[in-house]
Amino acid sequence: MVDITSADSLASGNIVIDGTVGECFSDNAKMSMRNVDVFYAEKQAIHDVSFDLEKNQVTALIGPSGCGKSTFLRCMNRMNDIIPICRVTGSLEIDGDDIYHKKMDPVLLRARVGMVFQKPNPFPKSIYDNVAYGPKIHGLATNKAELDEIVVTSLKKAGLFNEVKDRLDEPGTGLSGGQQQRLCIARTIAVSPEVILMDEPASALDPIATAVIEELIDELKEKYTIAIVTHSMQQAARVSQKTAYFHLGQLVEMGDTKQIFTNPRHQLTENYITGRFG
Amino acid sequence: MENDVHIAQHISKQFDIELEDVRNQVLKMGGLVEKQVRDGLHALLTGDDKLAKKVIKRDRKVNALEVQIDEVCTDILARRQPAASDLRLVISIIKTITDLERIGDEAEKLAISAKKVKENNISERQYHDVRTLGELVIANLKQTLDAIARMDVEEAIEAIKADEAVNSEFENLQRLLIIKMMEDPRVIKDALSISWSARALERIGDHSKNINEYLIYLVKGKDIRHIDLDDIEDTLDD
Amino acid sequence: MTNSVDTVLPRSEVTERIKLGLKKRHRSELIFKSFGLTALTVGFLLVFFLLFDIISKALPAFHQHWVKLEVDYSAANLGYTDGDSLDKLSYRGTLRKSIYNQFPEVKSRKDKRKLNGLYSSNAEFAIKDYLIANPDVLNTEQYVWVRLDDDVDVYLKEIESLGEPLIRIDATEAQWVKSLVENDYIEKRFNIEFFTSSDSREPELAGVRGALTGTMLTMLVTLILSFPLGVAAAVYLEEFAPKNRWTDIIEVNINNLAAVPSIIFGLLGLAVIINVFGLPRSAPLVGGIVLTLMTLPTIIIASRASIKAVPPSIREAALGLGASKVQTAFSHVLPMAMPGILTGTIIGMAQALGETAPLLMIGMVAFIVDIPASVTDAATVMPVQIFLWADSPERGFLAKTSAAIMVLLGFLFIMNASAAYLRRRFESN
Repeated sequence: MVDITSADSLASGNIVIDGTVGECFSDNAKMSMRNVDVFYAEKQAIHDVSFDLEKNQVTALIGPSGCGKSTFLRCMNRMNDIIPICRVTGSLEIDGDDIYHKKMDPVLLRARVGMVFQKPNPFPKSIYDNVAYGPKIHGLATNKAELDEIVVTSLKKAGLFNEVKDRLDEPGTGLSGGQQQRLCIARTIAVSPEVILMDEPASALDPIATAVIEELIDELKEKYTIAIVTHSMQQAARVSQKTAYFHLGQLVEMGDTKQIFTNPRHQLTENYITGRFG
Repeated sequence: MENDVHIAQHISKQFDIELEDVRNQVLKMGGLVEKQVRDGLHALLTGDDKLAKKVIKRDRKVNALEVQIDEVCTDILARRQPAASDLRLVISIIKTITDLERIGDEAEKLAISAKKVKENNISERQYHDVRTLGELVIANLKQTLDAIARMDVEEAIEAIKADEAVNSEFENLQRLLIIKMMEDPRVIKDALSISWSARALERIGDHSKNINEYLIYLVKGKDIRHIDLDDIEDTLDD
Repeated sequence: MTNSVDTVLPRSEVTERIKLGLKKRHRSELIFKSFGLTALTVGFLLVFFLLFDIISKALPAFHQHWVKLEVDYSAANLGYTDGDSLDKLSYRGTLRKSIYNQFPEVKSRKDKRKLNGLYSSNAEFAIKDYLIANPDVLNTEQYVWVRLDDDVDVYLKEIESLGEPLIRIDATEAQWVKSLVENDYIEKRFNIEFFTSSDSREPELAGVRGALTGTMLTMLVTLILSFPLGVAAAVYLEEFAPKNRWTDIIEVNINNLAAVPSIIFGLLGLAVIINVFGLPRSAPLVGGIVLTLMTLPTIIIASRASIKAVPPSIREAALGLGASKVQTAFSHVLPMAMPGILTGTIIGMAQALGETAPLLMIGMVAFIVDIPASVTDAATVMPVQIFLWADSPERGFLAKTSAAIMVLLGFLFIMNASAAYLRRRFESN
C-alpha cells in the first residue's frame, strides 16, 4: 500500500505562510480546489490549499520531499480512498461537480480523471489488452472493430504505435522503461479522460525517454488538462504553463511558470528554485 | 514580499564560490574602468602624454576581463541552470560587462584626444568646459559602481536621475561650441575635437545608466529599460 | 568530508585486520555449504531407498501365473439342452472334470479338494465367460486359461526370484505344480486385472480399480468444493474485508484450523453430515466434504500470502483506470497470484489424497466390491485400501499393498505435474 512514512516527516500544525502568493485561480478552470485539508489519522498533511487547474494547460506541482504534492494529486481522483486513515475536507470540483459528494461514483470519476504513476506499471497482459482494459470495463466499445480503433488511436496519441504495431500480442512488461510508461499513458488515454494526473512520470526513466515523455505531455495538453507532480525543477520549467510550489503541505505560491522561474514572489519559492534548500 | 538577492547559501558551496568569484571579477573590472576614465580625463585636461599612452595600453586588460567574465558566465549557465535571482544575476553580469567594456573604449578615446592636444597644442582653457562634464560623469560612474557593489536600488535610481544632469551639461557644452564655431570659423577644427571628447563622456554616462537599469532588474526582477524616469518608481512600487 | 576510515585506522591496518577474519569467514561458508550438500544427498538417498524398496516389493504384483485348462464344453458336461440360457449351466462340474482329467491319478476326495485349491476360485466363472463370449465353442474342447490360486502364484514367484520358496506348500501340491510347469501349462502374464478389478477376498483377483475410482471421485469433490471456496475466501479477506478485530479473529481461527488433527474432521463428518444431514455413509460426497474442511485452511493461507505478494502498483493502475474493486481483484490480482494459489492447492490436495483417519470415521473402511458409479455410492479410497491389504494375512496381498502404494504415488505425481504445468501457463502469461 501507499507509504505514509513521508507523512511522518511533515511538521504537523507548523504554518509557515500567511497565505498563498500569486495567481491561483482562473476563469477557465477544469478543476477547482478550495480550502482542502488532508489528514492521515491525526497528522495533517495538507493545510488549506486552494487553486484552480486551468483547462488544457499543464500545471506543475513542485516542492521538496514530503511537502504533500503527491498526496494532493491523489486526492484529485480519490485514489486516497483506498487508505482508510486518510481524511479529506474542503471542496474539490470538476466542472463544478463536487468529487467527494455521495452521489459521485469514484469509478466514474477515475474514468474522467486518469492517473499515470511514477513507476511504469503495465498489466502483465499483452500490449493490446493493456490498452483495451479500460474501454472494455467501461463499455466504451460495442464490438471488436471499435475496440481495435480505440487501442490504435490511443497508442498513436501516446507516440507508441509505430514501435509496437507488429507486436500487440506481446506482453506489456517486455517493453523498455520509456515504452512502458508511454503504454501506461496510452492506457489512460484510452478511456478518454478529461484530466490526466501524472505523479513524477519520468523519474524512473533515462534522459532520452524523459524528453520523449515531455514532448508527449506538450502535445497532450491540446486535448486534456494535465497536472504533473515533479521533483525536477527543470522539467517543471520545460513542460508546464502554470507552476504551484508546495511547502510542508501548504501552497506557498502559484503563477505562470515563466514568472515563477525568473522572478518568484515568495522567498521560500526563490530558495527552493535556486537550490538554497530542499 | 521583499525580494532580497542573496548570493550565498546554496546547498552547493561550490556554486556559492563561483558566483562570489564572478561578482568580484565584475567589481574589479568596474574599478579598473573607473581608473581608466579618471586617467583619461586627467590626461586630456593636462595634456599628459605619458598618462595617455598608459590608458591606451591598459584598455587591453579591460577587454581581457570582459572575455574572461563572459566565459565564466557561460559556464555557470551551462552547468548550473540557474533560476530566479541567480539567473538574473548572471544575465545582469553579462550585460554589465559589455557596458563596462564600452566605457573603457570611451576612456581610451579620451586618451587618444589627449595625445592630439599635445600634438596640436590646443589651449587648456578650451578644455575647461569639458572638465565640468567629465567630473559629473566620473561622479556618476562612481555612484553606479557603488550601487552595484552594494546592490543598492535606491542608489541606482539616484544615479539614473543624476544622468539627467550629465545630459543637460553636455547639451550646454554643445551649444557653447556651436556658438563659438559660428563666431569664429577658425576654431571649428579644435571645437570639433572638443566636441568629440564631450560625446565620449556623454556616452559613458549613458552606459552607466544602463548598468543601473540592469541592477534594478537584478534586484527587483523588473525590467525598467526604456521607461521614463517618472514612471520608474511607480513601476517598482508595483 | 574526509575519509572517516582513514582518521580512525590507517589504510594498511584496515587491510590487515580484514585479512585476519577472512579465513574464518570463508570456512564457515564452506561448512554451511557442505551441511546443505550432505542434507540434500542424504535426502535423495533416503528417497531412492524408499522407492527402491516399494518398487521391488511391488513388482511381483504386476505379473500373474495363469494355467491352461482343457475344457470339454460338451452339452452333457454343462447340462445344456437346446433353448437354455448359457447363464446357469453346470460350469463347476465342467471345471472339475477338466481338472481331474489333467491329473487322472488323483483319486481321494481329500486330494481332489487340494487339487481344486490349486486353481483360483473364480475359475468356473472364467470358463463361463469364455463360453458366453464364444457361444459357438459349445460341444467342443477348448483350452481356457484361468488364474492360479494366490498361494501357488506366490510359490512360483518366490521360486523364480529367490530360488527357494518361503511359502509353505504341500509336497503333493508342489509335485502337481511342478508337472504343470514342466508340461508348459503355466504361463506368466502381465496383471492388467490389477487395474481393472475391484477389491476381493482372494488376493489373486484383487485390484485397485474400486479404490482408485473412489479416490478420484473423492478428490474431485474436494477440489470442486475447496478451490473456489478457498480462493474466494482469500480474495475477500485480503481485498474487501475491513481491517478490524473481527477479521483478525477470523484469521487466527483459520490458521489454527490448519493444525487440527484430521480425525476430528472425521468426527464432524460422522456427527453432522451423516447423522444430521443424512447423507449416505461411506460416499465420496461425504468424504469430499470432510476433506474440504481439512484442505480449506491450507488453501486460504497460501492464497492470502500469494495475493498479498501482488505488488500494489497493479491494483493502483487498475483502480486509476476506473475499475471497481471486484474487477481489480479478479482481472488482475488473482491471475498474478495464481502460481502461489496453485501451489497451495496442490499441497492441500496432496495432503487430502493420503488422509485415512477421517475417512475411516465416515465409514470408508468397509469392504466394497462394486466400483462406485457416482459420488453418492459407497466407496473406499486408496489409503484405506492399502491399510486393509496391509492388514491381511495372505501373502498374496504383500506385493499388492506395495503395488497400490506405487499407484497412489503415481496419482500424486500426475496431480503435481498438472499443477506445475498450470503454474507455468499462468506465470508465462
